[in-house]
Amino acid sequence: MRTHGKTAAGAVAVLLSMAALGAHHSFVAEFDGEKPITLTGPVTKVEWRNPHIWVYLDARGPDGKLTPWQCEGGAPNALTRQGWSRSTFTLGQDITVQGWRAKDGSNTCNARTWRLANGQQVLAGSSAGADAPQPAK
Amino acid sequence: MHARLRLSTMTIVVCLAAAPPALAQGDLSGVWNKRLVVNTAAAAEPLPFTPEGLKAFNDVWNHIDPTSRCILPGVPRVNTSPYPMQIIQLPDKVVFLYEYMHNFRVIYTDGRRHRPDWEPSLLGDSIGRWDGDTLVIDTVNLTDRTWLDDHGNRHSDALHVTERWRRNSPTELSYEETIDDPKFYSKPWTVKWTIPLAPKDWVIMEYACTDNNKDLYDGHLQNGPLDGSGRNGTAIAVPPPPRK
Repeated sequence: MRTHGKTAAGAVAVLLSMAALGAHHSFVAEFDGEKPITLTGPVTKVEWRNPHIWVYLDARGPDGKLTPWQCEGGAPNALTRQGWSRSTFTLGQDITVQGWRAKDGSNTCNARTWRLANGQQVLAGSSAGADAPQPAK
Repeated sequence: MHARLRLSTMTIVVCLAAAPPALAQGDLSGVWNKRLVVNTAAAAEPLPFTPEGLKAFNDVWNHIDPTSRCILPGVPRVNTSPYPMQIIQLPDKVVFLYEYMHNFRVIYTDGRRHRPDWEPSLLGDSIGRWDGDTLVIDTVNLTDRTWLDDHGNRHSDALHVTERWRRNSPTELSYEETIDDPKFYSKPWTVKWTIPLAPKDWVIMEYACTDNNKDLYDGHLQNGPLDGSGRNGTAIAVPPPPRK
């Protein structure tokens, strides 16, 4: 598990857009924009259900130790219309998630970007828009 | 020659038979890509708050947005919540099917009046009429348990909403809402925008809000408007300075 302490430039705008696109709960009230985090490890479960998808992974620490995390993504209906599905992920295979930690300190994050083991960026996280990756046709 | 004439005549008859009947009313039917409007009052700011309305607006940070707990968005927020909607138009009614939280509304246009005896509700009591090609929906009997939008704009149980729906073109609806709430606003205000037709292959999908609302079930929800906006005065009617 690797964490980065610096807040990205423009984070406030990003957070506001994330809140808007989440459209279900307040991002800024629930997650900490001052605590970005990057997690890498094998996917253990995918919940492709409303109102938000959740992906569970065992994040790998510098010592190789695995720690269970859960990360919230975008709205499944919007992602489905873009061509993504639960099969975008393969259980047991590594993904890398960049996002922000929950304010309550639990191993919970709100995902900004998702990358497969081969480096391909997938889904739109919670921040769909012009930068949102599209599935390979 | 005769055969050609007969064919032409038949063609005209067939065309007349196949032509849609002339409608005094418009045609709103279709699947529409209704999108989230975060601050529905933006174009009407500064809002004409009453003291009670201003107090409610500033009190948003003491409450969880009701939709985060899967309470229906209500009228008019159902029209500005995300995800598509389908409109089915019938001679005496117009049916709105909203993907978001599986809301539906049956708007009768047969001249009936509001019901005098029902409890106030989240969607209220709506009746419709055609004003030329514009569907006008009048809604009363609403509770004060819903918000107007993600920005945390509020309304009271005195809210009276007038919606005006019109098809501008084959691929665009215009939508207008008038918020008349004498408890919270000293005068009515009106906002409007357009809604594009959804791509041809879009259908209304399942959106069961309670299916997996982990933010609620795990206790992560916190108070405040969904857009995270502070109450920095941009939308607040500034009270006059105290008299010396």
